[in-house]
Amino acid sequence: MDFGINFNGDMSPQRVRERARIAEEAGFDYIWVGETTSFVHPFPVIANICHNTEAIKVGAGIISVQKNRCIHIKKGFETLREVYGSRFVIGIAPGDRFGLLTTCVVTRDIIKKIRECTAQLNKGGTPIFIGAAGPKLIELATTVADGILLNYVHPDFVRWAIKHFKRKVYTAAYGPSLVLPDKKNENHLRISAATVIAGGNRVFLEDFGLVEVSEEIRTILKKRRYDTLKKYDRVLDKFTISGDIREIKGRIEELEKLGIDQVIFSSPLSNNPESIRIYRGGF
Amino acid sequence: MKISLGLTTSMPVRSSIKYAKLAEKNGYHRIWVGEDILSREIFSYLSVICLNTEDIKIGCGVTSPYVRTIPIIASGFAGIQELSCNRFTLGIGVGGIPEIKKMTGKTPTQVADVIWETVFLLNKIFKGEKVSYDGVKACVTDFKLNLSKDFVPPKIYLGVRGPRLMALAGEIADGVIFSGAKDYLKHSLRILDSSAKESRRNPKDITRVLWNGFLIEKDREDRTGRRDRRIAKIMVATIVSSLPGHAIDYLDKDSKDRELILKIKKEFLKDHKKASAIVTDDLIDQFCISGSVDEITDAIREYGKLGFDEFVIGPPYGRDPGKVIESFGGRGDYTTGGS
Repeated sequence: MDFGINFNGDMSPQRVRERARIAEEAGFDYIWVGETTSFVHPFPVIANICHNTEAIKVGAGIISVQKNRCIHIKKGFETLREVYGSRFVIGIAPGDRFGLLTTCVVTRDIIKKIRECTAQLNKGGTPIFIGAAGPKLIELATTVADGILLNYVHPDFVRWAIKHFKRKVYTAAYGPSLVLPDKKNENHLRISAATVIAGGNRVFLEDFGLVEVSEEIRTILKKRRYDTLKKYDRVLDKFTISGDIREIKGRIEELEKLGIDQVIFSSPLSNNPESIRIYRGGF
Repeated sequence: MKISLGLTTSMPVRSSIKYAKLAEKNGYHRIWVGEDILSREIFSYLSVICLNTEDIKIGCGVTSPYVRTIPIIASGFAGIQELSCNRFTLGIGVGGIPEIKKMTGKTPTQVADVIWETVFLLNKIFKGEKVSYDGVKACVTDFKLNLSKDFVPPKIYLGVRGPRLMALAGEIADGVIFSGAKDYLKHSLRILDSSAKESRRNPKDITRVLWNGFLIEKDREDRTGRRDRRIAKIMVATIVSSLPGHAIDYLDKDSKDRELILKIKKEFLKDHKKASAIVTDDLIDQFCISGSVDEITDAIREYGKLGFDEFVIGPPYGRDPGKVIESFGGRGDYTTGGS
């Protein structure tokens, strides 16, 4: 199994440089850089990581095809490949739902858009992954892409997603992570998990009876009443890979049994350099 | 007069890294990277240049608001500003119209309004403000970038040529990147000054960067000299092909240059080589700063006297780019005009 860690554009360049080196030394296989509307663009972050590491693979995970022109995504990676070689994976997806609202993007026929962009990117020679949470995108990803970034890390949710696979592709399970206890970052973990539920796919939420909870959490996030998220801890926990080392290891084993090829520890794990160091080739 | 290096995204990145390092070593003021819209991507390109230099200023000269949205322009260049430790200057311009059309399927319209709203919004976003706006092209709702506490809003320059946009630059830009025929440049400087004064700004607060065609030529009579001339002709044909109508209208109706420029523009659409072949020496002198190092040094001084603050070297540079970059480094004898 491969292991990845996620960095975002909310980290300072100095911190990206330091944490990327730690992640490579700790033996992570991939660093995935996410795109969130209120953070700086992934390309400066990706370049910074490549410049300060030797060989670790670097992915956009994910970059939005609604915010960026597909041609810019393609050319951005071609430009970076000229300098840093073939270390890249391009993970594309619609993008963060709430962020898109602030940029006046109107989503129309996203499946078609991602299909076309995948075809365009495929000509570039860099592996293409699709970030997916709902049945239609999962079906598309497992039809046209080299891999899929699943937004689920709980075995029940992963099993549900696998039911929609058209064929076996390289599958990464991507979720907010933290080695606990970590008082400083625990609330961040809650907010990250809450963001996943709030932007959840409709079919998924219906199948797991989470529609109402998702709407409540969405309202809380909108009003920034983060302190009230604690009461949803039982639900939020299902969207994270967190706990002590033994619990995290247990989750990884469960995911491996389901055929997951990579576990990606997303933010806030990267906030804590000690947690990155603890990893050491698989916790 | 300060000397800066010009690069474009159509140049292989590794070559640009080499030239950028050389420029820094030789005391250049800044490195400008122009976005060739259909070539490499500007955020990744500039990131690589930032990561391979230490202290030299970096500029984007220019990027077009017609190929990216405001949130993407803001998030990309904010990332460059952070990565460069606040060494960055953002140049905005309309960009090459045929390239924009090829990428977006649309011809740029309402350019003055679009440039204005782009600068207006970017200034606010870079200051950390939450912005809502629904304009000609830009649209954001409660958009805000999370910027680090050390973030310094980058200066915004305009790369413009027409009188209306030049006047707009006088109102809102921190600097202007000029290009065009020598006579037209003088006219443009007058528009800029007058507009700045009307907007109650001190014209001297607006940095004037000259980025025109540039080529070191050897003796024009020998074989390599003739090849240099051919390169100069190609360069001038390319510059002329993208001249806006008003830059041509500025010339006398009966002028030979005007007739020739129109012919080159027309020919360029069909056959670049034929268009280059009809470029004359006079036209090269108007649009391109070429000659020996000493001749170019004299020309830079002359431009300094006209009121330019910064002169951009290349591309192209000549047969030996490294040597050319070294030739203009640390001279410190480009008199007048600089800040």
